[in-house]
Amino acid sequence: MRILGWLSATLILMVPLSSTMAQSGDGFVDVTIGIFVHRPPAPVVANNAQSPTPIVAEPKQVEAVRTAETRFLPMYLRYSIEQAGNFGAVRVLPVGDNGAELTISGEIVRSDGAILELAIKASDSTGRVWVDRSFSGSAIASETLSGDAIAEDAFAGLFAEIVRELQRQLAVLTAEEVSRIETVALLRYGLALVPPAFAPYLAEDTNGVTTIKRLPAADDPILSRIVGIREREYLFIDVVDEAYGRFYTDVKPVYDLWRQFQREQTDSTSARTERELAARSDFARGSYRALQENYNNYRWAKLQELYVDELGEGFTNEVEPTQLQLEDSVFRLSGTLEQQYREWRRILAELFALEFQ
Amino acid sequence: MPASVISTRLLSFVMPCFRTLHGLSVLGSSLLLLLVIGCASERGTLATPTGGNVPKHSGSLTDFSGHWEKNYQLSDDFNTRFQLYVADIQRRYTQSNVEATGFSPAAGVNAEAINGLARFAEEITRMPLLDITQDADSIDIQRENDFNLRCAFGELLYVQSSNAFGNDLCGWNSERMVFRMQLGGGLAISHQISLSPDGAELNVTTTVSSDLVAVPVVISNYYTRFNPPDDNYDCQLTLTRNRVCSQRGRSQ
Repeated sequence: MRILGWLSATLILMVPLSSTMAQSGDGFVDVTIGIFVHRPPAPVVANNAQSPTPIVAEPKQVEAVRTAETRFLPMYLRYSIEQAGNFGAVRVLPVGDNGAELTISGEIVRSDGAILELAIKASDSTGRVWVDRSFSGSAIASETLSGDAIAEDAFAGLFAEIVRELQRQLAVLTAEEVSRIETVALLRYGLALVPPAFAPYLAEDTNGVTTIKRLPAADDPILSRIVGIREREYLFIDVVDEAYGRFYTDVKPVYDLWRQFQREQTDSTSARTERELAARSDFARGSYRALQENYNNYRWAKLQELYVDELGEGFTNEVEPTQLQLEDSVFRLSGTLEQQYREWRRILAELFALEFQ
Repeated sequence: MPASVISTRLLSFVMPCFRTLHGLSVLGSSLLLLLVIGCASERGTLATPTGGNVPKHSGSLTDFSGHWEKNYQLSDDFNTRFQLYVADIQRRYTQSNVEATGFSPAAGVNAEAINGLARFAEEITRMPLLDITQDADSIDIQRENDFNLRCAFGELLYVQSSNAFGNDLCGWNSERMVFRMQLGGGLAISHQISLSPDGAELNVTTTVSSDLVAVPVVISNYYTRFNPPDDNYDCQLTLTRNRVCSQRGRSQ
């Protein structure tokens, strides 16, 4: 029992609790957003050379933009959800959160500066799916009197739609249902740490819906420890989240510029393409001038592709150090988090064994 | 009119025209009566499977990277090349009377198209300098006064892309890199790049064809390596500050 006391004291002293942190059971659904994924289009798989719609591999220069977007866009969603004010703590995480109350995952389907399409899935701890669909929007330049950076984003409308959808789902939940989501999240967290102690409380059906079979006693010592551990884990998570916040702030001006240039380029390219395709050539087919005209149009299109690559290169050169810094800090923090987690699991297993001796 | 006479008249007409290539824009109306209709076939290009997935390349790829300057001694002399080209047309035209080669004397010869194709081929094959960067997944050939030839082949044998004005295909043909473009107006261009065994010389064989001319123009150019003078500045493109340069050896 001495060991138990020492361990508990160690755990409590390790990190002080944050007063600003949203607590479990506060009646607000906490949101955990995973970093988005982007699936680059596969290189060409054409049946033959005359394939009318060949698939083109994205140039390497775009990779940095895509990687940045996978971190930047969830942060923007996080700020949009926070601004709505209906939810609890909203965090962006590089790894899955066992104790998440509402988990949002996203896939970047299309992002070319002019159009953004995201496939968003949100589900709560009980396995209930809140949202599972694509959201698409065109860039709209907007300015606000307040200079609100979130509202002025070119795709603010798309994110507002996602938030509205989440709010709609939240609105139909009763207080008991919200409470159940919180409880299941906590029990699932406990289940991940001490499976033998928490397995009897939860049941999962074939559809992935989790129900509470029974609840631990309010003064259950293991549960109390789990609550304490989770709160402390949130402190680490908040540090990771802060690193994403800094990344967002640093990258936003460059990303906004990239989107703007990309948009302008897309607009001018389609205007010229339409004009050239609609115009009839003045030169005899097969003549030197006609060949030159065809080649020049093609060359111009190729130079536009080069320009887009240069935009990506400019973006990479500017954002890469910040990106590496983020990767490094998240790696270090998540490494610490994982080590800490392993240590806690070991300690809890010992505690569990001792208490049941 | 006998075929030999037609050929002689064609050659005697086109050759002087070709020697003053850039000054020419109008052709004799008498020869425009002669029209050859044929489909130009691609030579030395990729063997593309007719279905299924694109195969992967072998993995051991020729490294073309470096700075290359045109070797005019080894490269095709354009006038000589053109003589051979016309001779080839002449030969095929003659044979077409007895063989099924797709050349129809009755249809005639489109001299404006032949001349235009040759003049165009000469123009796009000047490329005095090439700057090639290559890694395991891609190649980028920077050409003076023309767009970069780029190929992001990755693991694949070839990749295909397109824009509003044409389709292109690039990839590996054994140890050679091939860029093939199919453009509007029946124009097709293929660049085939190979390296000499000692790696000292680069060959670029360009095939330019038009669906109005039966025989494609093939031009072979050779390049030798050169070392450009050292640049004292390291420059980087950025979006917010445009190009940022720093003196080599010093931090930005």
